[in-house]
Amino acid sequence: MRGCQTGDRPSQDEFYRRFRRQVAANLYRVLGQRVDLDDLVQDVFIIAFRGLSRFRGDARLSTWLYRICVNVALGRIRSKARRPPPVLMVNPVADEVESSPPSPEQALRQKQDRERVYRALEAMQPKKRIVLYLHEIEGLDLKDIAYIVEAHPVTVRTRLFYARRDFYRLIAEDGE
Amino acid sequence: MTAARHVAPERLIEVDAGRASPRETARVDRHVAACARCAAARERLARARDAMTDIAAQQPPELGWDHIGARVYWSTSSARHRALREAERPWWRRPAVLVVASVGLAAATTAALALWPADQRPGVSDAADRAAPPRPQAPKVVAGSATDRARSILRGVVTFASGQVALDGTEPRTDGVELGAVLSSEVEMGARLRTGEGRLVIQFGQASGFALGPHSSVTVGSFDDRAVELVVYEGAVEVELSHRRADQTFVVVAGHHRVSVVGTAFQVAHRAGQVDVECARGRVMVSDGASEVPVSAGEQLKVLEEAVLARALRQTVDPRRLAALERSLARPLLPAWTASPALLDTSSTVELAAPAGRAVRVDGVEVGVGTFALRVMSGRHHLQVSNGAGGFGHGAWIDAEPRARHRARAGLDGVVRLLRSGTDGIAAGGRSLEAMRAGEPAAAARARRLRRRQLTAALGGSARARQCMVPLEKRDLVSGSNVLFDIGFNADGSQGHLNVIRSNVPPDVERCLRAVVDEVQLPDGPAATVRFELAF
Repeated sequence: MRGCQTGDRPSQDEFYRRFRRQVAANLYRVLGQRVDLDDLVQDVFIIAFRGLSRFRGDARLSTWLYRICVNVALGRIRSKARRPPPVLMVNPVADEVESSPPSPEQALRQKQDRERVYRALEAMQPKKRIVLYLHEIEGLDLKDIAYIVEAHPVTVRTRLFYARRDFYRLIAEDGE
Repeated sequence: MTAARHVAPERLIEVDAGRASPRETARVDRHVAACARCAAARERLARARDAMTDIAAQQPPELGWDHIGARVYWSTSSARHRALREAERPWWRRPAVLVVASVGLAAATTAALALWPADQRPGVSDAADRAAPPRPQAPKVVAGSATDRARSILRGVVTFASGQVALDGTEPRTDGVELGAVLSSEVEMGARLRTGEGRLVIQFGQASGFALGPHSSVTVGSFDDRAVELVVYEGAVEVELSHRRADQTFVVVAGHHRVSVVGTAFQVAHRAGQVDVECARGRVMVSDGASEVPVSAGEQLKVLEEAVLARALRQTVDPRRLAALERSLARPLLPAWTASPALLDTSSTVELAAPAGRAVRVDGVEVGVGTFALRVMSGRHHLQVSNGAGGFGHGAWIDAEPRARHRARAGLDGVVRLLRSGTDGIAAGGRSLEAMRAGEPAAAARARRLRRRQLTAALGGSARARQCMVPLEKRDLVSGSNVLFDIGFNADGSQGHLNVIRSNVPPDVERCLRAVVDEVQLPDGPAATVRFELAF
């Protein structure tokens, strides 16, 4: 960690190797597509290496990195360049733990359901979307979310209330 | 049941999650049983909850980790070097000091004008004078004006050299050229550049450079910030220019014809008495002194040396040829340009001996074919060579230090091995690329053997590796399974890179095995890249 802060290359190597999958997974799940995942992962690490000297240790390193991921994802969400529809891969982990693979119909339905979730998320305001994602999908508590989105926990709670209302209404009305 | 009394989706979620009271649950259940719309909404919400659980378990696809790493290191090390250069700059030339000084000067001037009685200021006698329009003044000749100021001499840096090349006008040698030495030279006005079966790229500004194709001979006529003139005696020169000063001219002379640049990327070829101008981007003007013919992007102009230019035929370049021209124009230039001596101090060279015809990538960008030398900014770079089957090997990392000369060699299988590097240079060390091809230092082979032994000890009988094979055990497919890794170890025993070269196991098993190998930390020792096969 100290080596990373001073720009020591082996330390940065180690940092990158340790966190690269976590960063990619965070971005992949929050954005639901991988079109420019490489670029986003790159952005996160560049920001991280430049900002490590200012990291005060007031949160876990992984949480601090999560905050950068969220900011990069927010920037991506807010950018006007429209993305193609989500491209979702079949989850290899899910395949591994299931006793039998899903039928083609089931797999298609699962894919459509995931796309519906991302469609609803994309229809929401970015701030609400991130809070909802962190709470409902990643299962983080309000304190962690408050640190990640750099807001007061009460603000997060309020934002989450409206986000959940908007999101589930969008889901319930989708297809009507 | 009216729409106003439908159950709100967030209530349905609460009920289904068991967070509502029994009474509320019963009420909602009764309503949903009688309301098709709410039943459909409940179904959609339940599926969405399942999908959200799926999403939380989603794993990202495998990415080009090494490429991403290279770009990250490139970016962060560039920023660091910029900061170092800034720190080395004299204090009075730093931007912050200049800004403060400018603001201070402006404030002082304003204060002086405010305190100076208006009627005592020179040239301002009264209000009538102040209201009078400015009188025309006789033109003055000022030393250093835009027209007469001293020209700033340009110096170019060779960023790429392959095959037979010479910077001094001599016939390029055919018995092996010290490409590293070529890259250490600067190109100034009057330089005579020649190529045999080779290629030469010279950069002289931010995103500005020119390249000599095979069998070309070019003299640098003028080379300053006001005018650049290249004279093509034979062969082809490809030019790419960034935005230029308004008063700077860039001219390529070929035979009796002058090609002056309006655009940015073009090629001028002068062969067997014929001048051939192809423009990929922007626009160029071809003139013979009597007339001028514009050639726009995507156009080609062919004219015999003695022919009348005005009658020459312009034609559209075939799309495939245009694509080839664009690829050819994509020459390796350094991304950041400073004065050439500073650039030579902060960048380094990579000399690669690769089989003929094999494409080479640096940091994911194809930069050349076969054996060549390339100038790169200091930092970490990823070197890959095509393996002959159309793909690229996993390559090797180079930690490029300022002014260092790095050497690498690639085999027919596309595997890249780093050779001993240092600042002594090929010329001083007396080792040419030909000599490099003869064999790598014995120390490297010893280092590889040592690291392989250590790795075998670390992984031999690994319970975790066996655990990875459980999915295959169920199908009795373990025997014969193998995964070949390419692992770069740093001097502190950490891994610089880890790539899967070949595998005959399913992707999930491969990932699991890769994760096991990824966690191996060896003791301090020599840096080495080893191939290691996990076989069952």
